[in-house]
Amino acid sequence: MRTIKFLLKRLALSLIVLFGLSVMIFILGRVVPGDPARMSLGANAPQETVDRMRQQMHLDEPLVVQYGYWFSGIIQGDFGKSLYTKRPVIVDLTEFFPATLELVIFSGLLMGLGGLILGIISTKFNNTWVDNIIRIVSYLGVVTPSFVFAIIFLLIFGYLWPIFPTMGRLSQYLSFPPNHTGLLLIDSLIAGEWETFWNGFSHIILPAIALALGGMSQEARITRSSMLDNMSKDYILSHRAYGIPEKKIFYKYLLKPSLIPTVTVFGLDFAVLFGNAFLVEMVFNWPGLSRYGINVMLQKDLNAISAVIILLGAIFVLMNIVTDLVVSFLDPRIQLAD
Amino acid sequence: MGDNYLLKVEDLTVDYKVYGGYLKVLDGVNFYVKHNERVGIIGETGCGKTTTMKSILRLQANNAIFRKGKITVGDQDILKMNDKNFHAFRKKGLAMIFQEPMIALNPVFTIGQQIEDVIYHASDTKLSKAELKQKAREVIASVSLPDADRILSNYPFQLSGGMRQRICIALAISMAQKLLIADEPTTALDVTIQAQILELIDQISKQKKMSLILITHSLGLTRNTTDRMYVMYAGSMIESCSTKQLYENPLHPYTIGLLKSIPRLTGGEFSNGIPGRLPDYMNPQPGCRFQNRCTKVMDICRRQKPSEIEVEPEHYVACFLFDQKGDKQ
Amino acid sequence: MKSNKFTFWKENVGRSWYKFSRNKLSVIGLTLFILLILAAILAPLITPYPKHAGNFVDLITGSQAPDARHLMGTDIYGRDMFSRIIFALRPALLMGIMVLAIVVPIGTILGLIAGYYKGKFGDHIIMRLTDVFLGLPPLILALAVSSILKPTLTNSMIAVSVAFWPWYSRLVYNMVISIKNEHYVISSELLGESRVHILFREILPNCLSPIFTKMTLDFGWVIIMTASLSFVGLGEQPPDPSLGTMVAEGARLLPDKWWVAIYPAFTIVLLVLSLNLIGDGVRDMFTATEE
Repeated sequence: MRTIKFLLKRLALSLIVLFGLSVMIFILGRVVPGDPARMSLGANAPQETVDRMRQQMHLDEPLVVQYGYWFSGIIQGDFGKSLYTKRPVIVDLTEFFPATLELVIFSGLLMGLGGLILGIISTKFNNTWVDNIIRIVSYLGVVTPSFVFAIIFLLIFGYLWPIFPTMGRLSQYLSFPPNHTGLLLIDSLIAGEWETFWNGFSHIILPAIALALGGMSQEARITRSSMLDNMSKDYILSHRAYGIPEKKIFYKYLLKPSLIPTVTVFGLDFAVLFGNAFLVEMVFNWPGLSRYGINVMLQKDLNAISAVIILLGAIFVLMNIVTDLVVSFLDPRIQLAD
Repeated sequence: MGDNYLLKVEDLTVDYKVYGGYLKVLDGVNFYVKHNERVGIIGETGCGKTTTMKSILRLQANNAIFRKGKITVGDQDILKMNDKNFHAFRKKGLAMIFQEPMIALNPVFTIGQQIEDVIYHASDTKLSKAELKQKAREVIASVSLPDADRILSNYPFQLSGGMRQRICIALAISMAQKLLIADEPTTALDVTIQAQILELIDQISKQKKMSLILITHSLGLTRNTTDRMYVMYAGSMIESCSTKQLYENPLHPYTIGLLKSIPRLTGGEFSNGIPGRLPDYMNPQPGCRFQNRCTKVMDICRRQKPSEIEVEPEHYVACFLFDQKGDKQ
Repeated sequence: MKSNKFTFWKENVGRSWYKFSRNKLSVIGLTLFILLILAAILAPLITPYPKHAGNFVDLITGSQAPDARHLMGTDIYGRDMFSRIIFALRPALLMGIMVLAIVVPIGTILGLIAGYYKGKFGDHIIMRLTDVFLGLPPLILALAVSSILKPTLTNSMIAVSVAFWPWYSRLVYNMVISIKNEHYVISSELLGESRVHILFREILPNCLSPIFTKMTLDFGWVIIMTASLSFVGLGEQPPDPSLGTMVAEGARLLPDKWWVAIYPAFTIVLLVLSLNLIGDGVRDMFTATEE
């Protein structure tokens, strides 16, 4: 019951954020100099056509009314037409989004598990060479932007020691498995096409690691510092005094409270992956939403830009809710407090 | 050494390594607890009471260094045991109640999870889930908390300070043990709750035939609960005697000062306490550590550390004022 | 009186430096950062080919591997990479300084007001606005804003600032709502001090240490974000040297002409590394330690 109330409250706040975001994007789109109708038709279109277009796009009405039309379109999945691909934006999204989603999920798994395991190892071997190496590496991981990792990987594993493919999702000679989820790895498993699966796997591994390393390092550092912090808490002493074995103290009573900051940061970092995917997809020529996003941004393709941003905003907001839920599960003080 | 001793601490000397040197916190602590005996240790904050107790339970901080000394429980020297043996030994023999019930319980596990885990590991046989739960209920009831089921499903932050301290007592008695160490169990609580908690500790330790060490910095609390008292100052025991003797015939100037500083409801003069502060542990002066606050300080106090003298039967004091052989001037 | 103030100040600086310098890595970071700043300031004097920073083409010397004449090689137009990288430090550092100069005062003041008037109308407006801006990953927000603006250094500055200010108002807001119930704030309210006095003389000074710590760390993130914008082509445009653009150009030339991408990439890492090391030291400096 409490959880449901908590969830509803979070959901309401998120809807406000999404609404604000849509207003912001709408305003951004309207401050761009130039006539949107003219832009969508091209410089050579006759004036009458442009005028008709203006009417169709409700450009002569007050801004609030324009927003109303625009927003109701978005709710129905109508983002207008992309000037870049000349297709409805929604078609582009459904084509490109799964590739990005697959990359980000894969990368997120690597980030979360890797960071957690490194953090635990680092704590376990506190102040030994193992800890020191993990600390140095994760420090470098935090300060290195993902696109730098991407080009370093490209150089090392693409050319100097070419064990992984560096372009696209799948080799040319293979065809995509029948589409169920849009996620290549899962679809190929469903279809039982092992070769496709391994090929896809070898394609995703480099971009996924390049994308994951920054967050993974951050996770490792936070897990370590929060575990070390909590280790000197009185309740750890009292667990020890009350006869709980060390192993259980470490993996149960120390780990759970220490995970709270890790999970919070993981939620943020997972959403940030979608942002950094913009850069990594460019380097590895990954046919995803982010590469599409960059292209439409460079083309100033407003409809497509708005759609991409609203989609990512929705994901970010959703991710925040999930994070809050997990944190409230870990830390009872949060949902029971008020 | 007689069989009668449950715990015997001899010449325990512990330093803390800190930035810039060593804090010589324990300076040769001697004391003992007999079977079924109830011992009070009194001294102001920072005199080493908690460090002594944590050393007995081997819960000392990472920067603690054992210089010398011996801690025997029964006939075992616990400083010589390896971690695994000590762990098994501790949960059978020793239990501790901490000063701050607010932070002695894990905030993200329910009371039930924490108590059941303690029972599970203390038990010799493997208990089923239902048995664990039943035992947990019994333990909760034994510390006079109503509505055990609700409390077991609560998290620590949902309970009041007094309730939490009862939970800590419950955790302590969930293990089968001989010695209960209560480290200022009432300091963090409201005055109205203090007496109740103390009574509970008193009653439970009697019921379970456990020895008790009650650590406190306020004399008023120990009077009715303990048989024998130690007065601790700056890392060693400076006076020990029966509780009765202590109140009737305190000898050490520090003890006298302590007793004077208890405010009395009956009025009369109001004591100013003992002027001065605990000595610098990093570079303690030679001689008695109380010298700078002592109103009866003599030359020898600045040169030599006083040893324990039996002034009357079972009444020991570490002070040159009572040293007949020493050269008083 | 004056000398008293001076010794007080001197003692404070001394203690802060002691805390900062206890971690040798922070000192290394600070040294590195000062060297990078000096290099940026003195760029025309210390670079072998200052002209190569601009629109210079010499196809004959194009794409040369690093050697004694060109420490870090040349790009496809024959420009000395080393000179270009040193010159590219200028916009990078300028971005960091300018963005923080815009973002910190705005975020701080909004956070102060919203926190002090918690529950009032102003709080709702400011904090919901903050939430909206925090409703997108920062990089995407910056990309979105810069996509509708012309790709110039100033506009990148605006775009990055849009992404950074809400983090400060959130930080200050959370601090203010806990500080404003402290006794010293309440007592100066009872004494009838003005709102401005309470906000800026009583509350603000107690928010400063986390703000400063965040600033040093954010300096690095601003540089990364700027580089990211120019990496995808939405930042400063050629021929002006920019680290992100250089990496992007170099990425196309991999693996044969690796130096075009790798050196600017490492420069970014070095810059951000030095700032993070300083940030750790600043945090130590403000952390009260038991002594």
